[in-house]
Amino acid sequence: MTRFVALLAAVCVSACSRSRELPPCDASLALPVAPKDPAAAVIVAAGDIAECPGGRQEETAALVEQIGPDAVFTLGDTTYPDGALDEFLDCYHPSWGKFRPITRAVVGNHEYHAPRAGPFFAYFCGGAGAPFEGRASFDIGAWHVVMLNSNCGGDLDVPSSVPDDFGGCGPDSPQARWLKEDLAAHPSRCTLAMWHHPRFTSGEHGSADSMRDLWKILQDAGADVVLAGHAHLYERFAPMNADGQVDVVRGMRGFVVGTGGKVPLHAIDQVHAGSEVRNTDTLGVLRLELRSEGYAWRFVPAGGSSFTDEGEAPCHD
Amino acid sequence: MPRLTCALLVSLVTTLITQTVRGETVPAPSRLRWSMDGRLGYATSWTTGQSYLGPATGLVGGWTFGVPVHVELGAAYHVGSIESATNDTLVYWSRRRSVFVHAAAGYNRTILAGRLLVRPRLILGSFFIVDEAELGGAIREGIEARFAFGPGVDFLYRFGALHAGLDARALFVPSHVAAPVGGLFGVFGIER
Repeated sequence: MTRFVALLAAVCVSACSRSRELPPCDASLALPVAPKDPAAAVIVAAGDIAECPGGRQEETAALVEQIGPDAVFTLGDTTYPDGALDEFLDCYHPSWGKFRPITRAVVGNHEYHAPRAGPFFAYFCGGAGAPFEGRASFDIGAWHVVMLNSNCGGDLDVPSSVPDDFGGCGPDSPQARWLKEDLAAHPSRCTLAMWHHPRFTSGEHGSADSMRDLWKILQDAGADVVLAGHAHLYERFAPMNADGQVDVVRGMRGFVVGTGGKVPLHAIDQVHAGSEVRNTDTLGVLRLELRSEGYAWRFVPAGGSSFTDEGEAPCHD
Repeated sequence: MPRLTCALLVSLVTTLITQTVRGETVPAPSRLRWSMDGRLGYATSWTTGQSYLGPATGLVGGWTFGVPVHVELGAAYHVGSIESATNDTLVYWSRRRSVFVHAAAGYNRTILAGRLLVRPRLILGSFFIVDEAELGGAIREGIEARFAFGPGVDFLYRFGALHAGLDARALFVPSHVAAPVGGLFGVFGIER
């Protein structure tokens, strides 16, 4: 009987536990990022990236390699469908993994299909901020960059216990207090913020109202650009205030870049006020040049598509 | 998933046909009977995510009325799974496990002169999934409830007041991680 129990326990332990080796954590994963030309740092941004089989992450990774950026910003839902350890190591790593030392990653909702998004935080070492918090800030050239965790509400396809991990997105949340303190401590002319769920989008997942308070804090501090994913499309907005109105004086320009490789792309639900450019049939990445007093953007398409979107704008005075 | 559901339906239909052909009658209990079962088995879900199922053990208490409709309440603990990953500077560890609490209603059919009881039933319940993760000295844990429902069937062989058999079930989990669950349990119990 004792042997039977021991055998049962051994079978159970071997069947129910697994161990993998993580790639080494490069020293350069420590924030901040040092660009080749501080007056014109080049970053590439995209979210919703890898899925095996079926994803087209190799195509978008080739674009990133061709651009040769100073930093790569991933905008959440890095791997599909479950943000599992195997997905990071066997699917994301063989494609976008070559940029891991220069990647700064925000956490998406699919990462939380795994326990506390643990594989995501483990894979990106320090490049995703403090473990389980999903927020961080750093400087790149003349810009201050803020990474936030937007996994805050039931309408965002997020398990209800997730906001407890980092305190949520409310006006008095630890994340909001941290954001205010961080922005006060880094009074930069130009500021970029990024998180996963877009505050505004015309995509079928809808806009994340739970990010309103954090948008307002950034807006009041004079931030300029917000990057997001989640909606599988490309969309650019006019400068917007937290209430969803175009505000060219104090508003922030939003880019939704959920075109990193996951297919299919999403349809447009209803065109949101302030939406200037939308595309729902082209994978690709956003190339941003962060200059001393402004920024220039260009959507770089994959698969020989002709769609692009480019322009430039100054930072707030 | 369709294969398992199909197998269950085939078993059920075969049983009913056999019973009809043999002309066996269902000995309806003359009064309310109660039963208590221990269960030991395995469940899995159709997902690539870390499993909250795996080996399981549980307890089910039931009542059979004269009709003979059977109702039951039960709970099962699923061992779940542990994952870990390391490199020179990091240690990551996570554990996911669950408790499934359910109510079910079914209908008793007997064959082989009342020796073999076949009980198709509808199960309603909730998984309470506990997640834990540790990375770089930081620890987080949380619990999440996921509603589940679906068909199940018991095949129980009676030895006087005792019985033993199998419990097969297929559950649908309509949540943000909507992966169906299949489970097979050995059943050992008593009915009075």
